[in-house]
Amino acid sequence: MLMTSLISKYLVGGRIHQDKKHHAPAVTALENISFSLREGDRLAVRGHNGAGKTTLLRTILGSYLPTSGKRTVHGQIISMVGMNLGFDNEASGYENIFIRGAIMGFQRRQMQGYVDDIREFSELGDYLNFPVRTYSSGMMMRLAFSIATTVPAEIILLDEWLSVGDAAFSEKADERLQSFVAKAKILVLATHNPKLAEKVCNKSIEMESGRIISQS
Amino acid sequence: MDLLKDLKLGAERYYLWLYLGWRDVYRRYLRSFLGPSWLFINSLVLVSVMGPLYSFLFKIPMENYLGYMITSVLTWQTVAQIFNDIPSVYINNSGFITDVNLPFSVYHMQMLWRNLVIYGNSLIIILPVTFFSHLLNLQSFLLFPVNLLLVVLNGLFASYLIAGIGTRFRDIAPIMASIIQIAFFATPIIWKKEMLGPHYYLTYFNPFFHMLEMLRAPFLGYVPDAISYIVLSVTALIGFLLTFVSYRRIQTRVAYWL
Repeated sequence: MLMTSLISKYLVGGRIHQDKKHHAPAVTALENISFSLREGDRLAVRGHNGAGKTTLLRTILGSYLPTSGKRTVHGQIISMVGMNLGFDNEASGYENIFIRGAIMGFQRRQMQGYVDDIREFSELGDYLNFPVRTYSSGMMMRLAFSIATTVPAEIILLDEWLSVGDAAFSEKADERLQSFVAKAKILVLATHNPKLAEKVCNKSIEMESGRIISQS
Repeated sequence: MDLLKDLKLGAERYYLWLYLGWRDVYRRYLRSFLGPSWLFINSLVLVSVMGPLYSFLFKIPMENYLGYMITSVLTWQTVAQIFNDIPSVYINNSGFITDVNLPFSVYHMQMLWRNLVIYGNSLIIILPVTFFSHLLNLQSFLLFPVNLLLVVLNGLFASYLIAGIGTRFRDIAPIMASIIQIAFFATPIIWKKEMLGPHYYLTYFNPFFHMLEMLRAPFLGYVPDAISYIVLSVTALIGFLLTFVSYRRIQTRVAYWL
């Protein structure tokens, strides 16, 4: 009882309850979630820390399967959270373009067509010949971001709008992310920023402790 | 998602696991002078001490024994490494599982392929050794593709099951490590099955024995016993069925257990 009152007061996390089967406290991360999106939809997901935004994104992606209810997705989904995964520190920037490509589902020869664009946009130039362990974290982000936003995506999941690199680059990156997102059929954006949500999205849901409290 | 769809999607992404598995091996030895040879140096030191010692203890002439022992110890490394890797397959790919969501077969095949690359590497030592010991015999390679297939299928379904449970219960990895350690002595690697005399059939109850036979017999100039083919076909089938029926209970929950 104490726990529940704490939650309603401070609003973090999902609903905590007593799991009858295992006699242990359990968290229901999401409940009573129901919505559908079609081509052209841009959904903003808002809510406090632990409201279930990331969990919802992962459920849409398919890594978390709902314990009850149904999820139906038509189209290829890409989660931008995963854009930093799989980089091989010992491999060159070029090689990592192909590694990331393979992870996103593109074979080497398909990826070949994107290399020039990635080199140009990331401004990494000859550094792409060096192993990425020699990159600064900013350079690393530039590379990951450039690769992720070069290949086309049907459904994009974005956990907070990405801000990459130094002042000059971050402006460029912002434009690129906007045009990348514009080309996609569906966008789901989890964010704390109401202005951004209004600017980018045409639909929005507000979450609280794993439930949708308002929808527009 | 079910097992069949998982396998199909993984097969379509063959270039991914081939690439990642290959890079795993490449990266491990990238900046070392001796490269992948480090994999064998330990075994060679072991063999150079144990070879003479055991040929004396077992009273077998060195020239008959050394080729057998080197081949057995090196192929055992592959079997042992596969089973040591299995419990942590999902744990080591936790980021991918939650935020990329690849078909699970990709992680299993990456692990198996990585170990087969290392196995292929150890042939650099095995082939000349068995050639000069007059053990090599081309006919025994006829069934080699079948042997490899049986090892891969058994490894694949064992990996689905054990990696799934190993993610939920983190005790599985250390348990597996000690099983593998004991298995080194309980499996005919430094000794021969025939030394058990009338009790040789006891080795048939050891699943590691059959997998080891598949990988080493062709280089030692014989074809594994029919019973090894039967046992591994049956275990592959059982592994497939168990993975298939438990897919929803285990595989689809892995992401929650990470």
